[in-house]
Amino acid sequence: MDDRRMLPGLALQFATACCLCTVWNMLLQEPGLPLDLFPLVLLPFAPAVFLVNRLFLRRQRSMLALILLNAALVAAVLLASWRLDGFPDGAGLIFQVCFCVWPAVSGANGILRPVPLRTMIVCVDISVVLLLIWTGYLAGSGASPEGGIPMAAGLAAAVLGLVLYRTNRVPGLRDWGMIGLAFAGILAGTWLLLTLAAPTGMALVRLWETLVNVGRRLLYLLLWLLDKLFQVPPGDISGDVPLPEIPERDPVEPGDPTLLIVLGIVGAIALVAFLVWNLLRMRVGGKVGGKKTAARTRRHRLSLWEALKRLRETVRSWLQMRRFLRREKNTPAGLFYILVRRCRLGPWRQRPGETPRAFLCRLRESAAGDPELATALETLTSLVEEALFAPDPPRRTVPEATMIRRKIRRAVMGQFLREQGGKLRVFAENCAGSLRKTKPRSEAEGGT
Amino acid sequence: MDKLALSRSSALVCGPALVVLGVGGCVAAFFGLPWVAAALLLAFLLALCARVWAKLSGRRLSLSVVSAVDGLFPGDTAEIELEVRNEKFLPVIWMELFFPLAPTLCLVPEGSRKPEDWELADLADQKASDRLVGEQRLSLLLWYETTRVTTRWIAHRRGAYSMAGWRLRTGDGFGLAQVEGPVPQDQAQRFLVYPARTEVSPALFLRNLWNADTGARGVMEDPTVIRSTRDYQTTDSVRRINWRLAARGLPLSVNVYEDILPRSVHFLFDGESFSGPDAHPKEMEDALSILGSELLCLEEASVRCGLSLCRGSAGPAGNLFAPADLSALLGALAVYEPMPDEWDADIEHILPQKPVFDSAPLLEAEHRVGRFYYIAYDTDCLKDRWLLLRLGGERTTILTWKEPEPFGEFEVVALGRLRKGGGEHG
Repeated sequence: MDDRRMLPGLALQFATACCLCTVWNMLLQEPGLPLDLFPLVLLPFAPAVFLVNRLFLRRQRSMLALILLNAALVAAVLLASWRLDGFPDGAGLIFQVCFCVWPAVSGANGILRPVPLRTMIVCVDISVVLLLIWTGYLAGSGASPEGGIPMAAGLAAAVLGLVLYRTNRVPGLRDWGMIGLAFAGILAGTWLLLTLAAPTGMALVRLWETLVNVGRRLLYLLLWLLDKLFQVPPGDISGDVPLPEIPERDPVEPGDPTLLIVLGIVGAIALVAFLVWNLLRMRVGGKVGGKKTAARTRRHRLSLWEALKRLRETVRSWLQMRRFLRREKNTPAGLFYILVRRCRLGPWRQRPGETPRAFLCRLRESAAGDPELATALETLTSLVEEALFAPDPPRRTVPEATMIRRKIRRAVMGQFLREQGGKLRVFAENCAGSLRKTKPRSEAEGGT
Repeated sequence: MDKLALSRSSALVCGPALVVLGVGGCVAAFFGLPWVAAALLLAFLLALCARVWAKLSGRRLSLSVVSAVDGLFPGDTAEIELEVRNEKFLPVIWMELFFPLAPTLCLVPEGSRKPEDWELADLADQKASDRLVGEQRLSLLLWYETTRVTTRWIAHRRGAYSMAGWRLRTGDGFGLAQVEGPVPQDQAQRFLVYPARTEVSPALFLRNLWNADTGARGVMEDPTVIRSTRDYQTTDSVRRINWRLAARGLPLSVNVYEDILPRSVHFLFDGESFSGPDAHPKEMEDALSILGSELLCLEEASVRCGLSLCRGSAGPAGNLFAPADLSALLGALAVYEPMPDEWDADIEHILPQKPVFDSAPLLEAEHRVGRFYYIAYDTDCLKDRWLLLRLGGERTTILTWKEPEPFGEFEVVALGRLRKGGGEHG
């Protein structure tokens, strides 16, 4: 196993254990009683089983040996928990066995094959959902919020595992600094939001109540209309329809079960023997493949001071550009640059190598439906050419500058909204298609 | 590069989840559930921050190829140096380059892996290989940093590979969101893997050229153009003596004539004869391998070679008349693929297709070519090849992959006999 994959796997194991611990508490913990020890045992058990499997599989082993090792680990942890907590009842026993087997299987699996990204992401998502549900449950039952600490730790571990997976290395001080800074910002934002959330929530609740009232009235209206249209007798919609009688089945005479039992035992023995034989033959672990050659990298980095100076230059030039555009918004050159800037995200953006005349002509053709705008753009074309290329151009202003800016802005905004609408339509069609189990359409097919 | 890859991102960063978390947090705060509100708002801000961070990380990132080899032979290893630029102040915490590979796996990077299930749909859309994909992970890219990465690629078989499908992926520091973007089309390069080299002998082609199988390397003299004269030596032929000078009473001297280049060898590759109902792809690769190796041998022997390929799925028919650079010929062989099968629904059978050559320029240049060599699978399929019949047996030799059978007045030679010490196929 690649060493760089070990830490994400370890974090994933811990997060899985935290999720199992929370699920146990949600399903089997009675409110008001002290927490069981068994789910807490899972927290060290899951990473430990991962590490033990990793050590065990440094050399090639048989699958049977791997299964026996993990079975022994599961048995050990179960015995330990029974000694501490006492022997559980039926449902508790089943849950305990399942919750111990799960980390063992996932730990061994994580060593045998690299954990896919999807698993890491799903683990984060499940951790968040469980944290939210568990926090809500604790708040609803009036229990102490400290019970949510394992799940919070699990979420942190899941996110950490994902970070390690993405970066494919142990992050350095700079990485942790940036991630820590972002997290501190998020915490501060949460604290700020909490002060604003209550009034916002009140507004949302009012909105919800209004919507519910409107919906209810619409439903009544619909029912009234249906009632008027069809005049359905009230007895028929009450649902008091007598159930048909189910005829009793004749009891089946049992045959002689001896032969079946013997056959079953022989079959089971054969099956077990076949499985054991195959598991012994199957070889796992050890070092697979040759040594991977790392890609050579050469870096050209700037110091923070140099980068800040460059950032300052960028900001300064951006501000100068903004100032220039504001000052020259009515001159031909200024208006031309405003149009180029405004259209940069839409389909009318200036193409590489396109002359100002070609760009404005294209805009004019697009605006053929609006004669006023088309005429203004035609006038603007010659003025822009004069302003940009004449040796000593006179200073002019474009009288229709405000109208051109307004209409182009509106057109670009309209195009943007149409694009978003198209995306939503494609999304809805894909959802409907997936419900109908047909092939979903791609965005390109339904593009705007 | 601003497309959010939802399949590789957490569900928390999608729009509906953000709305639910934000609204839920506000409502929980209103109903006096501070811990629930805190958890919801924390998740909301985490997801929102991840989404915005990923979007910003993907901006102003560029990828370009600094140095690469245009053409390779199977078995060769190439180093491709890539340059990644982060042209903004915000550092990029993680980044990866994703290389979809050609369906033929002609060029494969070191450390390639099997694609994951969710990647298969995208790969099918791009018509890329679903057996292997390449990936290169890069570490932290600081502010305005430029990184050069050298990746090693192994050429496996003949084909063309374009970097048009390469993708640059990055995202937020928490790893929750990922954005990806393609390499700009104008920067996409193409790498060619030529047909495999094999040991061949060029004797057949040199035999048909004037003086080419001797030490003169195919160069002959033009007796109509006198370059200079020199003193007569007893070994000189009497025919070379310049009698005009001798008649003026000058010492005996002999003429030295201008060298002229011989006429070239031109190959016509009939790829459709290897295709059709009974396709022979392995045999076609073998034939292309022999042809490519012969081109290399003839280049070493200073014999000019030309090549005509019939229309294929990779492009229209083309003629290359003795180009200065041999890589043009090898490149044409690298990208050639026969036309896709034509299915006849009535008889439920794949129809054989005739090769379509760009014949007009070929016939115009007929007099400049020393000899044509028409390469096909066998002679059975050649009865309706009008271009071959038009060129005629006097100046055309047929090279077949199968053991040759007599075909009209044409000289027919087995391709396998061109191999050194050969005569046997495979």
